[in-house]
Amino acid sequence: MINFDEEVRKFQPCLEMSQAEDAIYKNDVKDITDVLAEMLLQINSNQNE
Amino acid sequence: MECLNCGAPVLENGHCSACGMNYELLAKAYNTSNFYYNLGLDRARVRDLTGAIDALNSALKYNKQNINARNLLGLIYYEMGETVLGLTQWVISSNYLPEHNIAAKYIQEVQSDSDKLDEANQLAKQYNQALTYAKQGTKDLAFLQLKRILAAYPHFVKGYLLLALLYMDNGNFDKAKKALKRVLRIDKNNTLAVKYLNEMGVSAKDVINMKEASSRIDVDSSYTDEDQFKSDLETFVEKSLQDIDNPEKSKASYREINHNKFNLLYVSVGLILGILAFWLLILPTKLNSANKENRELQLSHSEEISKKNVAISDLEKKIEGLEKQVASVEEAKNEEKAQEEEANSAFEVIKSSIPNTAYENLCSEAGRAVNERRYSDAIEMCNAALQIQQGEVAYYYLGKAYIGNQDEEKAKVAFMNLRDNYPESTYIDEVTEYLSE
Repeated sequence: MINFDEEVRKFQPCLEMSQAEDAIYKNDVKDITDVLAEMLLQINSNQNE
Repeated sequence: MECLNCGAPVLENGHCSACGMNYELLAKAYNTSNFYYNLGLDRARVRDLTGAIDALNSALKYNKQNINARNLLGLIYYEMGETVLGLTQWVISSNYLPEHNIAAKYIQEVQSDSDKLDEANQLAKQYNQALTYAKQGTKDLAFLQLKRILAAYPHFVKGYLLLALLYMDNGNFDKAKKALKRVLRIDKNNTLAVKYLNEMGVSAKDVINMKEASSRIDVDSSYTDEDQFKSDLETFVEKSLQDIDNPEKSKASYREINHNKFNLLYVSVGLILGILAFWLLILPTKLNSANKENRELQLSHSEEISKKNVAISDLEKKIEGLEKQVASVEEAKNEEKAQEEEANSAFEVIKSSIPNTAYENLCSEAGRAVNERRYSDAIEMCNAALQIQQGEVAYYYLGKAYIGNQDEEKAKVAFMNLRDNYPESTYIDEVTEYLSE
Protein backbone atom coordinates (compact mmCIF):
# COMPACT_ATOMS: atom_id res chain seq x y z
CA MET A 1 0.00 0.00 0.00
CA ILE A 2 1.16 3.48 -0.75
CA ASN A 3 2.62 5.49 2.11
CA PHE A 4 1.03 8.88 1.83
CA ASP A 5 3.80 10.91 3.47
CA GLU A 6 6.46 9.25 1.37
CA GLU A 7 4.47 9.66 -1.79
CA VAL A 8 3.49 13.27 -1.22
CA ARG A 9 7.16 14.17 -0.75
CA LYS A 10 7.73 13.17 -4.39
CA PHE A 11 5.34 15.87 -5.58
CA GLN A 12 7.23 18.94 -6.75
CA PRO A 13 5.83 22.47 -6.52
CA CYS A 14 4.64 24.16 -9.67
CA LEU A 15 6.70 26.83 -11.33
CA GLU A 16 5.35 30.31 -10.55
CA MET A 17 5.60 33.26 -12.91
CA SER A 18 8.15 35.01 -10.72
CA GLN A 19 10.42 31.96 -11.00
CA ALA A 20 10.13 31.68 -14.79
CA GLU A 21 13.09 33.96 -15.51
CA ASP A 22 15.39 31.95 -13.27
CA ALA A 23 14.15 28.75 -14.84
CA ILE A 24 14.97 30.04 -18.32
CA TYR A 25 18.48 31.13 -17.39
CA LYS A 26 19.20 27.95 -15.48
CA ASN A 27 17.92 25.78 -18.30
CA ASP A 28 21.43 25.24 -19.55
CA VAL A 29 21.14 21.50 -20.13
CA LYS A 30 24.20 20.12 -21.87
CA ASP A 31 23.61 18.31 -25.15
CA ILE A 32 26.01 16.20 -27.21
CA THR A 33 27.43 19.27 -28.91
CA ASP A 34 28.36 20.80 -25.56
CA VAL A 35 30.00 17.58 -24.44
CA LEU A 36 32.01 17.33 -27.67
CA ALA A 37 33.05 20.99 -27.38
CA GLU A 38 34.26 20.40 -23.85
CA MET A 39 36.15 17.32 -24.94
CA LEU A 40 37.84 19.25 -27.75
CA LEU A 41 38.77 22.04 -25.37
CA GLN A 42 40.33 19.54 -23.02
CA ILE A 43 42.24 17.82 -25.81
CA ASN A 44 43.53 21.16 -27.13
CA SER A 45 44.64 22.30 -23.68
CA ASN A 46 46.46 18.98 -23.12
CA GLN A 47 48.25 19.36 -26.47
CA ASN A 48 49.29 22.92 -25.61
CA GLU A 49 50.76 21.74 -22.35
CA MET B 1 29.64 20.38 -46.29
CA GLU B 2 28.85 22.82 -43.53
CA CYS B 3 29.34 22.21 -39.85
CA LEU B 4 26.06 21.51 -38.07
CA ASN B 5 27.26 23.42 -35.03
CA CYS B 6 28.74 26.65 -36.41
CA GLY B 7 28.06 26.53 -40.18
CA ALA B 8 31.77 26.66 -41.14
CA PRO B 9 33.14 24.34 -43.91
CA VAL B 10 34.02 20.79 -42.94
CA LEU B 11 37.51 19.57 -43.71
CA GLU B 12 38.33 16.31 -45.52
CA ASN B 13 39.17 14.61 -42.23
CA GLY B 14 35.51 15.12 -41.19
CA HIS B 15 36.19 17.89 -38.70
CA CYS B 16 34.91 21.46 -38.77
CA SER B 17 37.47 24.02 -39.90
CA ALA B 18 36.31 26.50 -37.21
CA CYS B 19 35.07 24.63 -34.13
CA GLY B 20 36.80 21.33 -34.83
CA MET B 21 33.66 19.24 -34.22
CA ASN B 22 33.41 15.84 -35.81
CA TYR B 23 30.70 16.13 -38.44
CA GLU B 24 29.71 12.48 -38.35
CA LEU B 25 29.21 12.50 -34.58
CA LEU B 26 27.16 15.66 -34.71
CA ALA B 27 25.03 14.31 -37.56
CA LYS B 28 24.35 11.13 -35.57
CA ALA B 29 23.43 13.18 -32.49
CA TYR B 30 21.07 15.38 -34.52
CA ASN B 31 19.50 12.35 -36.16
CA THR B 32 18.94 10.73 -32.78
CA SER B 33 17.39 13.96 -31.52
CA ASN B 34 15.01 13.99 -34.47
CA PHE B 35 14.18 10.32 -33.87
CA TYR B 36 13.16 11.10 -30.29
CA TYR B 37 11.21 14.11 -31.47
CA ASN B 38 9.26 11.89 -33.87
CA LEU B 39 8.67 9.42 -31.06
CA GLY B 40 7.46 12.21 -28.82
CA LEU B 41 5.19 13.50 -31.54
CA ASP B 42 3.67 10.07 -32.07
CA ARG B 43 3.09 9.67 -28.35
CA ALA B 44 1.58 13.13 -28.05
CA ARG B 45 -0.80 12.34 -30.91
CA VAL B 46 -2.20 9.37 -28.99
CA ARG B 47 -2.29 11.43 -25.76
CA ASP B 48 0.56 9.56 -24.13
CA LEU B 49 1.82 12.85 -22.74
CA THR B 50 4.17 11.40 -20.11
CA GLY B 51 5.83 9.21 -22.76
CA ALA B 52 6.02 12.20 -25.09
CA ILE B 53 7.71 14.32 -22.40
CA ASP B 54 10.33 11.59 -21.86
CA ALA B 55 11.02 11.28 -25.58
CA LEU B 56 11.21 15.05 -26.10
CA ASN B 57 13.57 15.49 -23.17
CA SER B 58 15.80 12.84 -24.75
CA ALA B 59 15.60 14.69 -28.06
CA LEU B 60 16.78 17.86 -26.33
CA LYS B 61 19.66 16.02 -24.68
CA TYR B 62 20.99 15.13 -28.14
CA ASN B 63 20.27 18.56 -29.58
CA LYS B 64 19.11 21.33 -27.31
CA GLN B 65 18.44 23.49 -30.34
CA ASN B 66 15.82 21.10 -31.68
CA ILE B 67 13.14 23.74 -32.05
CA ASN B 68 10.28 21.41 -32.88
CA ALA B 69 11.00 19.20 -29.87
CA ARG B 70 11.15 22.20 -27.53
CA ASN B 71 7.95 23.73 -28.93
CA LEU B 72 6.09 20.45 -28.60
CA LEU B 73 7.35 19.99 -25.06
CA GLY B 74 6.04 23.45 -24.17
CA LEU B 75 2.71 22.63 -25.74
CA ILE B 76 2.42 19.40 -23.71
CA TYR B 77 3.20 21.23 -20.46
CA TYR B 78 0.57 23.79 -21.37
CA GLU B 79 -1.98 21.05 -22.03
CA MET B 80 -1.24 19.50 -18.64
CA GLY B 81 -2.01 22.82 -16.95
CA GLU B 82 1.59 23.88 -16.36
CA THR B 83 1.54 27.10 -18.32
CA VAL B 84 4.71 28.58 -16.81
CA LEU B 85 6.75 25.50 -17.74
CA GLY B 86 5.33 25.64 -21.26
CA LEU B 87 6.16 29.34 -21.56
CA THR B 88 9.71 28.65 -20.40
CA GLN B 89 10.25 26.15 -23.20
CA TRP B 90 8.78 28.50 -25.80
CA VAL B 91 10.93 31.41 -24.63
CA ILE B 92 14.11 29.29 -24.89
CA SER B 93 12.99 28.07 -28.31
CA SER B 94 12.35 31.58 -29.63
CA ASN B 95 15.73 32.58 -28.26
CA TYR B 96 17.46 29.94 -30.38
CA LEU B 97 15.39 30.76 -33.46
CA PRO B 98 13.85 34.22 -33.29
CA GLU B 99 12.25 34.15 -36.75
CA HIS B 100 9.77 31.75 -38.31
CA ASN B 101 9.22 30.06 -35.00
CA ILE B 102 5.74 29.00 -33.93
CA ALA B 103 6.81 29.46 -30.29
CA ALA B 104 6.51 33.22 -30.79
CA LYS B 105 2.86 32.75 -31.70
CA TYR B 106 2.23 30.62 -28.61
CA ILE B 107 3.92 33.19 -26.36
CA GLN B 108 1.95 35.99 -27.93
CA GLU B 109 -1.30 34.08 -27.46
CA VAL B 110 -0.66 33.50 -23.78
CA GLN B 111 0.70 36.97 -23.09
CA SER B 112 -2.01 38.79 -25.04
CA ASP B 113 -4.53 37.90 -22.37
CA SER B 114 -3.24 39.25 -19.07
CA ASP B 115 -6.06 37.46 -17.23
CA LYS B 116 -4.80 34.15 -18.58
CA LEU B 117 -1.32 34.80 -17.27
CA ASP B 118 -2.69 35.86 -13.90
CA GLU B 119 -4.84 32.73 -13.77
CA ALA B 120 -1.84 30.52 -14.58
CA ASN B 121 0.16 32.18 -11.84
CA GLN B 122 -2.72 31.84 -9.38
CA LEU B 123 -3.10 28.18 -10.30
CA ALA B 124 0.58 27.54 -9.54
CA LYS B 125 0.37 29.41 -6.24
CA GLN B 126 -2.81 27.65 -5.15
CA TYR B 127 -1.42 24.24 -6.06
CA ASN B 128 1.77 24.92 -4.13
CA GLN B 129 -0.36 25.97 -1.16
CA ALA B 130 -2.40 22.77 -1.41
CA LEU B 131 0.81 20.75 -1.60
CA THR B 132 2.09 22.47 1.53
CA TYR B 133 -1.17 21.68 3.31
CA ALA B 134 -0.91 18.03 2.25
CA LYS B 135 2.70 17.79 3.41
CA GLN B 136 1.82 19.44 6.73
CA GLY B 137 -1.06 17.01 7.26
CA THR B 138 -3.91 19.55 7.02
CA LYS B 139 -5.63 17.41 4.44
CA ASP B 140 -9.07 19.05 4.67
CA LEU B 141 -7.61 22.35 3.54
CA ALA B 142 -5.68 20.58 0.80
CA PHE B 143 -8.91 18.93 -0.39
CA LEU B 144 -10.74 22.25 -0.48
CA GLN B 145 -7.94 24.01 -2.30
CA LEU B 146 -7.54 21.26 -4.88
CA LYS B 147 -11.26 21.04 -5.57
CA ARG B 148 -11.35 24.78 -6.14
CA ILE B 149 -8.36 24.58 -8.49
CA LEU B 150 -9.76 21.69 -10.50
CA ALA B 151 -13.17 23.32 -10.83
CA ALA B 152 -11.44 26.27 -12.51
CA TYR B 153 -8.67 24.39 -14.37
CA PRO B 154 -9.92 20.96 -15.41
CA HIS B 155 -6.69 20.13 -17.33
CA PHE B 156 -4.39 20.31 -14.35
CA VAL B 157 -2.93 16.78 -14.14
CA LYS B 158 -0.74 17.38 -11.09
CA GLY B 159 -3.80 18.53 -9.16
CA TYR B 160 -5.77 15.37 -10.00
CA LEU B 161 -2.85 13.18 -8.94
CA LEU B 162 -2.50 14.91 -5.57
CA LEU B 163 -6.27 14.81 -5.07
CA ALA B 164 -6.30 11.07 -5.89
CA LEU B 165 -3.50 10.48 -3.38
CA LEU B 166 -5.46 12.35 -0.71
CA TYR B 167 -8.60 10.31 -1.47
CA MET B 168 -6.62 7.10 -1.34
CA ASP B 169 -5.22 8.08 2.02
CA ASN B 170 -8.78 8.85 3.09
CA GLY B 171 -9.94 5.40 1.97
CA ASN B 172 -12.25 6.92 -0.62
CA PHE B 173 -11.11 4.85 -3.59
CA ASP B 174 -14.09 5.65 -5.81
CA LYS B 175 -13.33 9.33 -5.75
CA ALA B 176 -9.64 8.65 -6.22
CA LYS B 177 -10.49 6.54 -9.27
CA LYS B 178 -12.64 9.31 -10.64
CA ALA B 179 -9.81 11.82 -10.36
CA LEU B 180 -7.40 9.33 -11.97
CA LYS B 181 -9.86 8.73 -14.80
CA ARG B 182 -9.58 12.38 -15.61
CA VAL B 183 -5.78 12.09 -15.60
CA LEU B 184 -5.98 9.17 -18.03
CA ARG B 185 -8.31 11.20 -20.24
CA ILE B 186 -5.65 13.93 -20.53
CA ASP B 187 -2.54 11.76 -20.31
CA LYS B 188 -3.26 8.17 -21.32
CA ASN B 189 -0.12 6.57 -19.91
CA ASN B 190 0.46 8.69 -16.84
CA THR B 191 2.72 6.41 -14.86
CA LEU B 192 1.73 7.80 -11.49
CA ALA B 193 -1.98 7.39 -12.24
CA VAL B 194 -1.45 3.79 -13.38
CA LYS B 195 0.65 3.12 -10.27
CA TYR B 196 -2.10 4.47 -7.97
CA LEU B 197 -4.73 2.42 -9.77
CA ASN B 198 -2.64 -0.71 -9.35
CA GLU B 199 -2.24 0.10 -5.68
CA MET B 200 -6.02 0.28 -5.36
CA GLY B 201 -6.28 -3.22 -6.79
CA VAL B 202 -7.34 -2.26 -10.28
CA SER B 203 -6.07 -4.89 -12.67
CA ALA B 204 -4.19 -4.02 -15.85
CA LYS B 205 -7.20 -5.06 -17.90
CA ASP B 206 -9.45 -2.76 -15.92
CA VAL B 207 -6.94 0.07 -16.35
CA ILE B 208 -7.18 -0.40 -20.12
CA ASN B 209 -10.97 -0.40 -19.89
CA MET B 210 -10.77 2.70 -17.76
CA LYS B 211 -8.64 4.43 -20.37
CA GLU B 212 -11.21 3.59 -23.04
CA ALA B 213 -14.06 4.75 -20.81
CA SER B 214 -12.23 7.97 -19.95
CA SER B 215 -12.38 9.06 -23.59
CA ARG B 216 -16.08 9.85 -23.01
CA ILE B 217 -15.25 12.39 -20.29
CA ASP B 218 -15.59 16.00 -21.28
CA VAL B 219 -12.22 17.14 -20.04
CA ASP B 220 -13.06 20.82 -20.49
CA SER B 221 -15.91 20.62 -18.01
CA SER B 222 -15.27 21.68 -14.41
CA TYR B 223 -14.29 18.87 -12.08
CA THR B 224 -16.75 18.20 -9.25
CA ASP B 225 -17.40 15.34 -6.93
CA GLU B 226 -21.12 15.35 -7.75
CA ASP B 227 -21.10 12.87 -10.57
CA GLN B 228 -19.07 10.61 -8.34
CA PHE B 229 -22.23 9.95 -6.36
CA LYS B 230 -23.82 8.83 -9.58
CA SER B 231 -20.98 6.47 -10.22
CA ASP B 232 -21.27 5.17 -6.66
CA LEU B 233 -24.89 4.40 -7.40
CA GLU B 234 -23.90 2.80 -10.65
CA THR B 235 -21.35 0.60 -8.91
CA PHE B 236 -23.94 -0.35 -6.30
CA VAL B 237 -26.42 -1.31 -9.02
CA GLU B 238 -23.74 -3.19 -10.91
CA LYS B 239 -22.69 -5.00 -7.75
CA SER B 240 -26.29 -5.88 -6.96
CA LEU B 241 -26.80 -7.21 -10.45
CA GLN B 242 -23.65 -9.26 -10.13
CA ASP B 243 -24.91 -10.62 -6.82
CA ILE B 244 -28.16 -11.58 -8.47
CA ASP B 245 -26.27 -13.29 -11.26
CA ASN B 246 -24.17 -15.10 -8.70
CA PRO B 247 -26.41 -17.97 -7.54
CA GLU B 248 -24.50 -18.53 -4.31
CA LYS B 249 -24.84 -14.94 -3.18
CA SER B 250 -28.41 -14.55 -4.36
CA LYS B 251 -29.59 -17.53 -2.34
CA ALA B 252 -31.63 -16.49 0.70
CA SER B 253 -33.84 -18.34 3.12
CA TYR B 254 -37.61 -17.90 2.89
CA ARG B 255 -39.13 -15.80 5.61
CA GLU B 256 -42.69 -14.81 6.38
CA ILE B 257 -43.10 -11.06 6.29
CA ASN B 258 -44.44 -9.71 9.55
CA HIS B 259 -46.96 -7.09 8.42
CA ASN B 260 -47.73 -5.90 11.97
CA LYS B 261 -44.28 -4.38 12.12
CA PHE B 262 -45.16 -2.07 9.28
CA ASN B 263 -48.57 -0.90 10.53
CA LEU B 264 -47.29 2.43 11.78
CA LEU B 265 -45.38 2.90 8.55
CA TYR B 266 -48.52 2.18 6.50
CA VAL B 267 -50.57 4.64 8.56
CA SER B 268 -47.99 7.41 8.29
CA VAL B 269 -47.59 6.80 4.55
CA GLY B 270 -51.38 6.90 4.20
CA LEU B 271 -51.51 10.17 6.12
CA ILE B 272 -48.78 11.68 4.00
CA LEU B 273 -50.54 10.57 0.82
CA GLY B 274 -53.81 12.02 2.10
CA ILE B 275 -52.18 15.35 2.89
CA LEU B 276 -50.49 15.33 -0.49
CA ALA B 277 -53.79 14.56 -2.24
CA PHE B 278 -55.48 17.38 -0.32
CA TRP B 279 -52.64 19.71 -1.09
CA LEU B 280 -52.37 18.85 -4.76
CA LEU B 281 -55.98 18.06 -5.77
CA ILE B 282 -58.55 19.59 -3.41
CA LEU B 283 -56.80 22.74 -2.26
CA PRO B 284 -56.16 24.15 -5.75
CA THR B 285 -59.82 23.70 -6.82
CA LYS B 286 -61.05 25.32 -3.60
CA LEU B 287 -58.66 28.17 -4.03
CA ASN B 288 -59.84 28.58 -7.62
CA SER B 289 -63.52 28.72 -6.65
CA ALA B 290 -62.81 31.17 -3.83
CA ASN B 291 -60.86 33.34 -6.23
CA LYS B 292 -63.71 33.19 -8.73
CA GLU B 293 -66.27 34.27 -6.11
CA ASN B 294 -64.02 37.07 -5.03
CA ARG B 295 -63.68 38.25 -8.60
CA GLU B 296 -67.47 38.20 -9.10
CA LEU B 297 -68.00 40.13 -5.87
CA GLN B 298 -65.43 42.63 -6.92
CA LEU B 299 -67.16 43.04 -10.28
CA SER B 300 -70.62 43.57 -8.74
CA HIS B 301 -69.23 46.05 -6.22
CA SER B 302 -67.41 47.95 -8.86
CA GLU B 303 -70.61 48.10 -10.97
CA GLU B 304 -72.58 49.49 -8.01
CA ILE B 305 -69.88 51.99 -7.28
CA SER B 306 -69.86 53.15 -10.89
CA LYS B 307 -73.68 53.55 -10.86
CA LYS B 308 -73.53 55.55 -7.67
CA ASN B 309 -70.78 57.67 -9.06
CA VAL B 310 -72.98 58.46 -12.08
CA ALA B 311 -75.91 59.40 -9.78
CA ILE B 312 -73.62 61.59 -7.68
CA SER B 313 -72.34 63.38 -10.74
CA ASP B 314 -75.95 63.97 -11.96
CA LEU B 315 -76.94 65.39 -8.58
CA GLU B 316 -73.90 67.59 -8.54
CA LYS B 317 -74.88 68.92 -11.94
CA LYS B 318 -78.42 69.61 -10.67
CA ILE B 319 -77.06 71.43 -7.63
CA GLU B 320 -74.91 73.53 -9.87
CA GLY B 321 -77.98 74.42 -12.01
CA LEU B 322 -80.04 75.33 -8.94
CA GLU B 323 -77.25 77.42 -7.52
CA LYS B 324 -77.06 79.26 -10.83
CA GLN B 325 -80.84 79.82 -10.72
CA VAL B 326 -80.66 81.16 -7.13
CA ALA B 327 -77.86 83.46 -8.11
CA SER B 328 -79.78 84.77 -11.11
CA VAL B 329 -82.95 85.30 -8.94
CA GLU B 330 -80.91 87.20 -6.38
CA GLU B 331 -79.37 89.25 -9.12
CA ALA B 332 -82.82 90.08 -10.48
CA LYS B 333 -83.99 90.99 -6.97
CA ASN B 334 -81.02 93.27 -6.47
CA GLU B 335 -81.70 94.87 -9.81
CA GLU B 336 -85.35 95.39 -8.87
CA LYS B 337 -84.29 96.94 -5.55
CA ALA B 338 -81.88 99.23 -7.28
CA GLN B 339 -84.59 100.20 -9.76
CA GLU B 340 -87.03 100.86 -6.89
CA GLU B 341 -84.49 102.99 -5.12
CA GLU B 342 -83.83 104.84 -8.30
CA ALA B 343 -87.57 105.33 -8.79
CA ASN B 344 -87.99 106.58 -5.20
CA SER B 345 -85.13 109.01 -5.51
CA ALA B 346 -86.56 110.20 -8.83
CA PHE B 347 -89.96 110.56 -7.18
CA GLU B 348 -88.42 112.60 -4.38
CA VAL B 349 -86.59 114.76 -6.90
CA ILE B 350 -89.79 115.29 -8.84
CA LYS B 351 -91.75 115.88 -5.65
CA SER B 352 -89.27 118.46 -4.42
CA SER B 353 -89.08 120.14 -7.78
CA ILE B 354 -92.84 120.52 -8.19
CA PRO B 355 -94.09 123.79 -6.43
CA ASN B 356 -96.41 122.81 -3.56
CA THR B 357 -99.40 125.11 -4.01
CA ALA B 358 -101.90 122.77 -2.34
CA TYR B 359 -100.40 123.43 1.14
CA GLU B 360 -100.62 127.19 0.75
CA ASN B 361 -104.13 127.02 -0.61
CA LEU B 362 -105.23 124.81 2.26
CA CYS B 363 -103.56 127.14 4.80
CA SER B 364 -105.26 130.23 3.31
CA GLU B 365 -108.60 128.37 3.23
CA ALA B 366 -108.02 127.28 6.84
CA GLY B 367 -107.30 130.96 7.86
CA ARG B 368 -110.53 132.05 6.13
CA ALA B 369 -112.47 129.27 7.89
CA VAL B 370 -111.10 130.43 11.30
CA ASN B 371 -112.15 134.00 10.54
CA GLU B 372 -115.64 132.78 9.56
CA ARG B 373 -115.70 130.58 12.74
CA ARG B 374 -115.91 127.30 10.84
CA TYR B 375 -113.44 125.75 13.19
CA SER B 376 -114.01 122.08 12.37
CA ASP B 377 -113.44 122.79 8.59
CA ALA B 378 -110.32 124.69 9.52
CA ILE B 379 -109.07 121.71 11.56
CA GLU B 380 -109.63 119.28 8.63
CA MET B 381 -107.88 121.58 6.18
CA CYS B 382 -104.92 122.14 8.51
CA ASN B 383 -104.48 118.36 9.03
CA ALA B 384 -104.65 117.84 5.26
CA ALA B 385 -102.04 120.56 4.75
CA LEU B 386 -99.79 119.00 7.38
CA GLN B 387 -100.05 115.62 5.61
CA ILE B 388 -98.76 117.27 2.46
CA GLN B 389 -96.04 119.28 4.13
CA GLN B 390 -95.01 120.36 7.63
CA GLY B 391 -95.30 124.13 8.14
CA GLU B 392 -95.74 126.92 10.73
CA VAL B 393 -98.89 128.37 9.11
CA ALA B 394 -100.72 125.05 9.23
CA TYR B 395 -99.83 124.59 12.96
CA TYR B 396 -100.86 128.16 13.74
CA TYR B 397 -104.28 127.87 12.18
CA LEU B 398 -104.75 124.40 13.63
CA GLY B 399 -104.09 125.79 17.14
CA LYS B 400 -106.47 128.73 16.48
CA ALA B 401 -109.16 126.34 15.22
CA TYR B 402 -108.82 124.17 18.33
CA ILE B 403 -109.09 127.27 20.58
CA GLY B 404 -112.18 128.33 18.70
CA ASN B 405 -113.52 124.82 19.03
CA GLN B 406 -112.68 125.08 22.77
CA ASP B 407 -110.22 122.21 22.63
CA GLU B 408 -107.38 123.79 24.52
CA GLU B 409 -105.34 120.66 24.88
CA LYS B 410 -104.99 120.02 21.17
CA ALA B 411 -104.48 123.72 20.63
CA LYS B 412 -101.55 123.62 23.00
CA VAL B 413 -100.08 120.56 21.22
CA ALA B 414 -100.34 122.36 17.89
CA PHE B 415 -98.73 125.54 19.32
CA MET B 416 -96.01 123.50 21.04
CA ASN B 417 -95.14 121.84 17.68
CA LEU B 418 -94.96 125.30 16.14
CA ARG B 419 -92.78 126.69 18.95
CA ASP B 420 -90.41 123.68 18.93
CA ASN B 421 -90.04 123.30 15.17
CA TYR B 422 -90.14 126.89 14.12
CA PRO B 423 -88.64 129.11 16.89
CA GLU B 424 -88.13 132.08 14.57
CA SER B 425 -91.70 132.09 13.32
CA THR B 426 -93.65 135.36 13.09
CA TYR B 427 -96.34 133.76 15.24
CA ILE B 428 -93.94 132.85 18.02
CA ASP B 429 -94.79 135.74 20.41
CA GLU B 430 -98.50 135.10 20.19
CA VAL B 431 -98.03 131.38 20.67
CA THR B 432 -95.63 131.77 23.61
CA GLU B 433 -98.04 134.17 25.31
CA TYR B 434 -100.87 131.72 24.88
CA LEU B 435 -98.87 128.82 26.18
CA SER B 436 -97.65 130.86 29.21
CA GLU B 437 -101.24 131.58 30.16
